[in-house]
Amino acid sequence: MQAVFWFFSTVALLSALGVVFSRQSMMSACWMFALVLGLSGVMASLGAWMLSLITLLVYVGAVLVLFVFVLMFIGQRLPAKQIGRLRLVGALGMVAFIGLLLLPFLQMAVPAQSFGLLSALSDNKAYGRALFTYYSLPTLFVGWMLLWVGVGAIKSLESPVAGEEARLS
Amino acid sequence: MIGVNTVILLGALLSLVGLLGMLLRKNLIIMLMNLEIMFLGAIVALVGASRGQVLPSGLPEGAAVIPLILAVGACEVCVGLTMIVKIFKQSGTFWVDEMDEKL
Repeated sequence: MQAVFWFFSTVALLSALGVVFSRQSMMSACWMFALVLGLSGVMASLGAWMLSLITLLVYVGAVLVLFVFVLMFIGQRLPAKQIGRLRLVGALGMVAFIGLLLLPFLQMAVPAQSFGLLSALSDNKAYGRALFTYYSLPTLFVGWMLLWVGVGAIKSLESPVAGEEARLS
Repeated sequence: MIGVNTVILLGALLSLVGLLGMLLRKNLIIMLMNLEIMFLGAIVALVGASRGQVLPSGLPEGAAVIPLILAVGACEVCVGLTMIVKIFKQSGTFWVDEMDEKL
């Protein structure tokens, strides 16, 4: 499982860099797909099969489809722009500076734990029981939020009909 | 053996790559994608660190909230893309450096 973890984490990191450095927006979306596959593999290698499946379904099935839809709707009309050298150096410097904050964390002695032993992470019944008993109120709230976000998005992008436009102006 | 450190480090590196993309790219859609990479990094770190109190169902508290956080991430993308389409309708561009002049 360790080799699988390293393989998928490398795929995820390289794909994330692919999203950043691709010149075409649609290629970035393709790299994002590889990134989600890689992260799903990382979660599966940690024993969290259920979470791996949920991530794949939510991110590929909902989020990426939305991205590709919007890219096809508006994204292809404009040519790609090159990243300036000064901007690249500045951004890399800033990220390296923030990355320095990770150094103390790397020196911390956190005991290594075997993730394969956490069988609860792959127990589907445990998720269902936790979400619909202990976390029932947050689950209901998130469900309502998803519904209203969808309705709100459609409503706010709706073009006013001819008569209504005149009334509004 | 894969340690907690390793998984949290992977999450932190992903978040840093997302931040790099946010700083480098000027395309609003790609910026939102990079925001999602940062969000995914946080989720990976949460999977790695899902310890603490174990619920009666046998699941650690941290792992139980991950499906809810993924749903919140889907909401975020929906709202973000709606705003991008609205901005594009008003300004005709989705390059952040051109928006100052057109909005």
